[in-house]
Amino acid sequence: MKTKKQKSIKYTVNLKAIIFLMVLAAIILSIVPLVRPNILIGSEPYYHLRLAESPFAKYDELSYSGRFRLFSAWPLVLFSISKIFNTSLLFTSKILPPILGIFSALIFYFILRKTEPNPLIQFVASFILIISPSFVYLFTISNSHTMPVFIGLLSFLLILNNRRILASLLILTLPFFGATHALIAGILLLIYVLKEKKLFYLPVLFLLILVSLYPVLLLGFPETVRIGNQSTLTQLISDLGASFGISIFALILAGVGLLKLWEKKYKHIFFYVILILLIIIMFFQIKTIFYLNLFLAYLATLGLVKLMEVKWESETIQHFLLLILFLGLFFSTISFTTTLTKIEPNEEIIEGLLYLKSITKPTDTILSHRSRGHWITAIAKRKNVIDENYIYAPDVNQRYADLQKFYSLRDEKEALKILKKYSVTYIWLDKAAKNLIWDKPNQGISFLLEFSDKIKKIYKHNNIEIWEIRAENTQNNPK
Amino acid sequence: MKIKPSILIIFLLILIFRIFFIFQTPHFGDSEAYFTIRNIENIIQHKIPLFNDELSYSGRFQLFSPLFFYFLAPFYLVLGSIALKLLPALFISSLVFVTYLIASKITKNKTGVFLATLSSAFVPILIFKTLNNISIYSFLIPLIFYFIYCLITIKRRLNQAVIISFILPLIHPIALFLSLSLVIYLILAKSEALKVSKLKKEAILFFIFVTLLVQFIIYKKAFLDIGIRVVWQNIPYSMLNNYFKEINLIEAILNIGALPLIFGIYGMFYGLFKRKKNSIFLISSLIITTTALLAFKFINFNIGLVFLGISLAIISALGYERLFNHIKITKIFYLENPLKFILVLLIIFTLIVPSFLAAQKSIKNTITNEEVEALEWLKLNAENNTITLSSPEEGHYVTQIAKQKNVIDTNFLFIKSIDERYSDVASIYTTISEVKALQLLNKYQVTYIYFSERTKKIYNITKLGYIEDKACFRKSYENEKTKIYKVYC
Repeated sequence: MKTKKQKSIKYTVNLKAIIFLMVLAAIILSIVPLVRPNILIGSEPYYHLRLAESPFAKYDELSYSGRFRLFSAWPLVLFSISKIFNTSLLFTSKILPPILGIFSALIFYFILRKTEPNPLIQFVASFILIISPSFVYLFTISNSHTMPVFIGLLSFLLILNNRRILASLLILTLPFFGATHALIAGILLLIYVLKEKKLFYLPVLFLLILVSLYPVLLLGFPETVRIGNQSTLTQLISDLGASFGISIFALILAGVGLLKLWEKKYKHIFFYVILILLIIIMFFQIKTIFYLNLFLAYLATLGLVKLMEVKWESETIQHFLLLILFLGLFFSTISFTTTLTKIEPNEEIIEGLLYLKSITKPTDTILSHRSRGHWITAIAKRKNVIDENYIYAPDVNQRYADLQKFYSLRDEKEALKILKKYSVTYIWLDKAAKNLIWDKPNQGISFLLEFSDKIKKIYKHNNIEIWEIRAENTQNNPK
Repeated sequence: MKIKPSILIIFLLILIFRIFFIFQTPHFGDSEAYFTIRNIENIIQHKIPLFNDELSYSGRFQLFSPLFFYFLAPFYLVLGSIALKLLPALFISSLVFVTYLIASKITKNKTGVFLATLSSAFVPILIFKTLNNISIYSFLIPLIFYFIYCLITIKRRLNQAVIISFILPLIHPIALFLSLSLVIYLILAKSEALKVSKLKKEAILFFIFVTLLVQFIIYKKAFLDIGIRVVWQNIPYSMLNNYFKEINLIEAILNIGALPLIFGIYGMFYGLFKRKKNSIFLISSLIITTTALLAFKFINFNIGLVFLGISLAIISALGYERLFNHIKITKIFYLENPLKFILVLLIIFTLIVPSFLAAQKSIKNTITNEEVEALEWLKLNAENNTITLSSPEEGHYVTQIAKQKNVIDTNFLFIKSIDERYSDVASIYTTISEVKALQLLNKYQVTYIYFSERTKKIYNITKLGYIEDKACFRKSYENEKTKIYKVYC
């Protein structure tokens, strides 16, 4: 039975831990928005920004020059928050993820307080989570995983606190953010049901599946996308250049943590099953890393604990090793945050896109690398040929193949045929896009673009180039 | 540990030997020495080394560990070029003490230790590679072997081993090679049921861990850009292939030394299967790793031979011990002392004399006064922002002495399409087609062509095949050893 004094000390320690974690999260998550106050990072935030302008629209006129628009709840959240607080969508896109991040970190800590008896592990795991590159990405950049991870954590905390109805309602919102979230939530919920025998959640699981299947019932299964050639390793490890990934130091510690967990063999079988399932899903949807990261933070903490517990012959080596690993975690965060602040678009690109908007008509179609697709639609407000929103995109594999062929062509006639097929009226390329398409200068169509009189360069400034297609019958042809 | 006078004499001998040669020329042997000087000068001026180099490859980003340059900078500031001549000689000569310490752990036979130490000081390839160069290997090699000594005496030298575990990976990626050899050591020890203390294991694993992390952090960009080629430092394939084609086995043996080779191999096998000591296993694993890496061309050939030569010299102490012990129990036991004398003579003829010849060859290969004059003329007379073509081996002369942009030098890491560039430069020098030459010269925007006796030797030519066209090419400078042409088309 704890005395009043013991309870008071425990309360003070907990409060200090909570304040520390909140402040840490606030500092880390505010670095990128402060360094880049007016420009969003990457292309996905611009996509959500554009959808948030009309969150209930069923048809997207710009993406892929026109396509069916599957409902996504994140733009609706952005729209609602900006309306409630009377802020611009841009401002909301920048501020909402860090706020959700602070609360997510706190919720994670409270979850651990319920599930892990050791206060040191509770605190350190939360700390490691906050400084992990995946967490920084997730709650710095406006993306479709920000809200679901927050909701997922909140639901689980509510489940642990026996708030069944509220937890169930929250879980049922997840399919509106994407099928992957529903799948992961479903798997975690199922495992929880099996472990704790809480059968109340079975109907919730059933409803979750039903709601998740709605798009499939409506539109059928989406085309299997065969795009992208980055190795899983470079997508997985933030230190190898992944846009969001796991620190190699955390990975090493998590490996040691797994060894510690394995000391109790099959007592943690459900934990292993969750890990394995998440890793499998990650090979199909790399952004599952955001969920996996929550478990890895815990494992990494166990790894640290194990390294501290093991009897070392040399305390010097032990201390240095722990120091290196700890510093390594910080290094990954700093390195990753620095990289994030440099991700395009930059002011030159914005300027180029705004110029494109000024010289083109709303019905014009712009061809560029697929990674520029969302900028073309969101900033230049023009149609694109392809972007990175592949799910239920019209003929996505065909388009990709056609564009790959286009980039390698030296035959003007063939090139114009492809441009005509997609009613392209302008080509927009920045320096980085060119490096993504070609290894060397004057390869493929880039040679033709310099000398063709049917594809004329009309803008060259700050590494941005725009070409106008002047061949007949390429303009305003419905696809 | 008390150092014997005989070892001190060997140290002084090798130091004087080196100093004798290095002061025969005011210049440095390897063009990479000039890259080092550029970095040191940049550190003195701007506090940072040349990560962004405007001259190399006409402007490029490069990545390397700058610790070595920062270390040399204060000495250069105070003493000038003399420091850069003396310091490497001093450090590499100190290898003698380290090899003595290790050999003393391998065997108690004093003569064997003395002969091994003497052999290690005069490995011909070591002399050739480190004489009159501001070579990082002058510092690395004694440090690596000292680290091995720390592992052998880990209880007393744990802190030193930990410190070196941080320094070595920061200086050079060859720490990876040492990590591999330590892994081989652990495997060998396990397979031969040799007891390795827990402390030693912890020290080894700590070193491997720190090395992997440091190299990962420093070279991850290189790995992402060029993939597995980072292992070979992105050396052009044709250069790599040509290099290994030129290997002559007899020459390789002479570069290591026949005596260390014979007694070293015998000592290694005896030590691995009979004596079973940790010190022997450590050196043997270094030999095995180096041999394997050389066989698969994962390591620079000369550097591989250096490590092989020194390791074999150290472990030959055991071979000598076995020989003397064997003689003692035979009827010719009275020949023990004459035999020692004969071995010393053999070392003189098979190691010291070849080392002398290697030293002469190294000094002969040093940049000449005429070449320096030509480059200085270029520095004073070339217009701003012009690009000078030279062979890769002379690229650093162009950037450091002439202060001009070059087309290619021996820092290949991070250069995209290096094979194409290397091949283009070779084509410019060897082609007889003026059209092709001009096409390539315009591709790299070359204004001057540097053409020395060294260039002729590298490309096996006597002149440039298209240089007669005075409309496009005019000789701007000429002396006995070098010509510089200006490109007008």
